[in-house]
Amino acid sequence: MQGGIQGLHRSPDFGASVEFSEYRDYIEGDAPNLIDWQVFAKTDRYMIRRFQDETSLRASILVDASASLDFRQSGPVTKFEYACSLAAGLMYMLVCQGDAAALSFFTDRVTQRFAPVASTETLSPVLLEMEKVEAGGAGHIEKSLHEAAEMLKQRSLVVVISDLLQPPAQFARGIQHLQHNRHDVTVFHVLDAAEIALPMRGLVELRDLETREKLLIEADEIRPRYAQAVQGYLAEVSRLCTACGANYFTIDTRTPILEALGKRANLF
Amino acid sequence: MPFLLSHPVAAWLFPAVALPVLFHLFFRLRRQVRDFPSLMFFLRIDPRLSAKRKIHEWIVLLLRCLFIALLILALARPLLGTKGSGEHVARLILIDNSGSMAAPATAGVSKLTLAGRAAQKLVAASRPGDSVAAQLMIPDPTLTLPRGFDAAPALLGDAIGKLTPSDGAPSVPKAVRAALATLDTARQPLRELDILTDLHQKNWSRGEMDAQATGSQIIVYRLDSVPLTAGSVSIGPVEVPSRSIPVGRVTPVRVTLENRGPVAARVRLDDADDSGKNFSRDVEVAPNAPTPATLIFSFANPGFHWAEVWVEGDAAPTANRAEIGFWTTGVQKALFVGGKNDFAAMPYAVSPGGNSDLSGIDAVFIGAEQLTASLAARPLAVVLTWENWPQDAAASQALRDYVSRGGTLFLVPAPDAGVAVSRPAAAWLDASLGALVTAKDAEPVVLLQDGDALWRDLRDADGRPRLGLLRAFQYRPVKAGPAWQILMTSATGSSLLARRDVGQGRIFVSGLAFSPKWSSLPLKGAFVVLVQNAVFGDQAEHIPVQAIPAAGDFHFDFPDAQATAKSLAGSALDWNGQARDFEGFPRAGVYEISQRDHIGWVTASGNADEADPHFLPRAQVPLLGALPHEVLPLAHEDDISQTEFSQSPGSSLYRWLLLVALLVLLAETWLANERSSDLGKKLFSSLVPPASRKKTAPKKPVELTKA
Repeated sequence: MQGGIQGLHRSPDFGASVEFSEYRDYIEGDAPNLIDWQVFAKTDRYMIRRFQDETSLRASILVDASASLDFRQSGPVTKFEYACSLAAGLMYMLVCQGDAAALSFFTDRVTQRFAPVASTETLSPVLLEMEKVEAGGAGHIEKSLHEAAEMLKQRSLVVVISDLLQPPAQFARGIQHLQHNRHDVTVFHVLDAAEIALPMRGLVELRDLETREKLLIEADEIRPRYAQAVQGYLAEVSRLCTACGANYFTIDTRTPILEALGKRANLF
Repeated sequence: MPFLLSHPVAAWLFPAVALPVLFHLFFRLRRQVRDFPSLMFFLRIDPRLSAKRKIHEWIVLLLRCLFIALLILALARPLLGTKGSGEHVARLILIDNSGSMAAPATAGVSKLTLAGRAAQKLVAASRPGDSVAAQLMIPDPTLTLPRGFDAAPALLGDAIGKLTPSDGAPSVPKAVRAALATLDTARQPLRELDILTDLHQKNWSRGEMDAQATGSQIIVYRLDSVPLTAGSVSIGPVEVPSRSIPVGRVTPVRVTLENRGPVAARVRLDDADDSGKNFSRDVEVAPNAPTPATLIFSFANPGFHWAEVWVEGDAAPTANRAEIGFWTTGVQKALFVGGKNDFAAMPYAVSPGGNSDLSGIDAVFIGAEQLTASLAARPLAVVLTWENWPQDAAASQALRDYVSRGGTLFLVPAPDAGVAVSRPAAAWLDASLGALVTAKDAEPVVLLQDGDALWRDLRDADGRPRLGLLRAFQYRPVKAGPAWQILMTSATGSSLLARRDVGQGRIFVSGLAFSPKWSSLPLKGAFVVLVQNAVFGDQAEHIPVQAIPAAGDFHFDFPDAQATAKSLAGSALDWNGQARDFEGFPRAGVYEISQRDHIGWVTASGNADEADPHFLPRAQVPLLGALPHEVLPLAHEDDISQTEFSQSPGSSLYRWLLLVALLVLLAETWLANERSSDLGKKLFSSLVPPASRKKTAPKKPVELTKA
């Protein structure tokens, strides 16, 4: 893991840590003090001893703030509130272990960015500011991820928290962009259980939170085919994320935050 | 198929058929409005109601509407086969004109008046091509009611307007059978029998109905009766004399008054006879306590006489009149050959009081030489002592001829003839007397031949003759041949009285003189009856008077001959025609009937059963049994609506409609339940593996696994 300061996470760079990594032949230009003279004495070759460099983690958390997340039916909070809680939890974990974490909100673009924080003192203002953010506006995940990919200059752990309500092929391109930039991408797919089970009965007029479009449905009649479509969508999202090398988790808003954090903690 | 609603009022409920549609639209307007994160998935699957779903929904809606429609239709009591759609109807109106119909109806008029008005309304409702006819339950020869279906409705209506109540009780099965038979002669395919009646319990519970109303609809219009609040007195059975009455004899007639009302009634009982004598008396009749009253009549001339009895001041006019016929004869003679003392008490038993006032028989004493000449006058009876038996053959033969032609001969011993054996009688008599026997201790007398006419009116409840303690003190045993029947013997077995039939007449021989010295028989009150029975003989006396209840069965002796019937008292009647066409006497009255050379008389009295205040309240009439029928109340003639008299012989659809409605309801329930199957639960089951489902209690969140 690449980081700006020395930390707990192994860096892809070789550096000056105590952990031996490998030997390589000396080449012209290498510092002579890096030559392992004991090996030269035994093998009569100039070998350079390399050590694993350890660095702190740089994480960038991207939270979807589009209007579609402002939905709550089966869970105790809205999807957006859940996403913010999850983001706050992640940031707190990272800061507590000495890593740096940055936070960004996006809708159809990155709407708000907070500078990376690496201490609890600097984390608190970010969390306070986070509380002021409200979900709203139309979302465009792919476009936002492209924008984020361009903004992230250093390799980072990129955590995307979103409901991913976009054709999977579209936002997959955004994730691919991040992966292409050598970011380690994790996707938290936040869903309300009602989005899956469609528990309404009878005739229901649905209003799209983002587009305000209306649709009259007979919930009882449409439920089986809806469930089938959702299942297909989830499978497609999972498949594409996996194909892109991203970690993918579906999270129900009824899931306790600690439990959700635990899903990713072992990856940090 | 023609179709009609019996209860069209229910048709007002038909708008309720639209209720399911209204509810459907109402709930559609009250649809839920929900925010949802994205319609992306719905747009993928075309969330609009599918055609199948729409069809399902419309079928359920249609079934609901159909169920309500069928229910309302069933309430409207539809009938198949009416003239409303062009089919012509033959309708026969059967009017109950029994005595009970004279009582007031709830409409303030008599039930018969109400029935007549209703019948006129039914007649007036007939359309061109329809046929209508009317019949009475009790045929009325005084009413010229057109027969068959060819009469003009106006004529028929006028005839019905002249209906008057009868005094009789109808035979309902007979009347209905006759009506159905008439209905079968109609040309129209649709046939209807309308019965206007008060459903009098006694009339509609009598007899059996075995007719088949093939293709005919029977509608019974039940006329409501006003419950009795005052006394209602009717004349019950009248004990009419069964024998001819001697001229001048005072004849008591016993009538019974019955009060069917809830309280005691004080009425006036009137009687009048054909001589103009009349009498009235006030009588108080307690409820349900038959009260007897005795009326006295006497007539001066021989022949037929009549009397009327009626009740005045009664609340109900039913069974208030009775007619009584009498047949009086002149004085008849009983010849006693010999002196008065030769016959002891017998002349007094034949003519009590010494004259013919009481018995109508004059006891005449003649000498033996006058016997042959006197027999020519055909006396009622001849009484001889054994000692006076004619010794010449001519007289003996004259006596035999007299008996053979129907005379009665009585042979008794003279009470003072001594102990000698009596003179022998003629050989053809085949009987003689033995020597006088004197019983020391008064021998009991035994009566034999229980069924003999001599014992008429002398029998006890077991049918055995009873003369009390009868003893013989002395007697001459009768020695009779095998042709004789022994009627009385002594305790020792000696015959005391025997009888033999000769030709049309009869001979009694007695071994007892009718003197208290010979036996205790003359001291008995029954002695007079016994002697009268012997004198009048056992052949039924033909009295040309018949007593029948009004509308009772009556037949002329010669059905194919011309006959006349004229009323002498009571209801007017002057009928002349073929005897077999005569329809009877519907009302109380005295009628003279004649056919060929015969003249007779009929007295018809009101039927007391008609005063019974009990009526069938049921919707079904048990007497009609399996005949399809419907009972409709009729309190006013306007209760007969246009629809009701347009009914056809088709069957009611009520039960079928209810059955179909039930099936529709079941189908609707099945379809509706299929719709509301819990698909959400099925979906949940498909998303969450059974293993993890246990961990996700209802209050715990559903864990979505990493895909």
